[in-house]
Amino acid sequence: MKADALFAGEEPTADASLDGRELTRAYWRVRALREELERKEQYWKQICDALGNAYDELERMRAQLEQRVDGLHRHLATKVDEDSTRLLVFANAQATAMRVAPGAVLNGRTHVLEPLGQGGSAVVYAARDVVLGGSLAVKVLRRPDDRAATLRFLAEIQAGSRVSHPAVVQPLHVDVSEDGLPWVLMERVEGRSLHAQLRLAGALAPRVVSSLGAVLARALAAAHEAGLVHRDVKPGNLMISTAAPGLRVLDFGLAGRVDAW
Amino acid sequence: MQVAGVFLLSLGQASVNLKMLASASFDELVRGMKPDGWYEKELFTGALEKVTSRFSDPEPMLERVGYEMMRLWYEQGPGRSIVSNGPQFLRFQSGSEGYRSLVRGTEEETGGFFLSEMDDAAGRALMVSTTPFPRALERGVLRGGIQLGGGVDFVGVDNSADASRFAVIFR
Repeated sequence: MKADALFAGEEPTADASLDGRELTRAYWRVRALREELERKEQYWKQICDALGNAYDELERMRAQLEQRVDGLHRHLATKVDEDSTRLLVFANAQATAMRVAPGAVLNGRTHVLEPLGQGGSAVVYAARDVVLGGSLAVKVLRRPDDRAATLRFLAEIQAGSRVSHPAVVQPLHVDVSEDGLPWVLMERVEGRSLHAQLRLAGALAPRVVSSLGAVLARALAAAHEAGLVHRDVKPGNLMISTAAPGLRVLDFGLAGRVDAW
Repeated sequence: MQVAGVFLLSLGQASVNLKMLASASFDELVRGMKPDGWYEKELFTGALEKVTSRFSDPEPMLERVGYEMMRLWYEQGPGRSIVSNGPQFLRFQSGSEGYRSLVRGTEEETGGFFLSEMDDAAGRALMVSTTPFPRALERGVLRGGIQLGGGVDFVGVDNSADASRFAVIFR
């Protein structure tokens, strides 16, 4: 029998034999196969080890990814919860509502007076506390279907309630009118914006700038302590008033959390 | 020192065939590369490093890559028209059309692949390498070049005593 036939898979007969040179060739073919098997064993061992390492690495990355996704889920859930809670405050207040307009009396003691100003999403009315006689203002959100405007309106109210400083206007009451418009009652700030003041009279005296700057810095520091960053400090949002402390910081509608910075 | 594009392409394709390199990585490696172009040697050694870095012992992997490169040379390249039997490969490899045709640079940089001894009747040869490439890769090249060249039942390549001296047995 020939060695080539044997290694081609031909089955030897019962009396087959390899003689002389064919036996020698068969020996070397067997030895070649054995050594090739040894090399392949080494090769596949390395492949298996590398695959094992790659699998471990994938598992580690998967665990990291899951952690990140969990973190995002928690953040999202918190955000949805906060927004829902704020909106529910208004939804639950419908029962005691009435329309906010000049002449209306809110909560049995707040007399709504003339409009003071009007923006893209809200209108502000002068108001008077008929019991105590104080000067107040009522801000009404005109477009509650505008989600961005509503969140900004709510953020401003929440910021005012969290920051305890005389230069930050405090909300006194929050409700929804009978026609479904959220409103907030707050103290009335007499004066004019820094923007208007600068246009009217030009630059302020250094002493005044120093004094107002100090008030502004303390007010913003109080906001930071409450975990808020105003994010929209500009002359149009600073009201110069004759009443102490001489300056009010308005419009916390774009405020963000300190921990998000 | 520079290496021929076909040398780099052969390395990449061999690595893909052996599942040591992903096809996407191969595409990235050879993007814009031409078989008849010349590229810095570091591109070749960098590719080798990339291919073998994930293995704790790169020796058997490099040898396998060398062997596979020779298989590609015979099956998809000009190998069959140049070499008609295994022992002939040894003479070819040490000539100007072998290793010397794949590299360019000073003699000091490229080194060489030399057939130091050859005894066809006894089936023995001694190859000496002074190239800057891994000896395990060259061991695979020698074994593949002789084995796949045909006409032999067995090829042994041993450089365990001196990495740069390959004692070759062919039967």
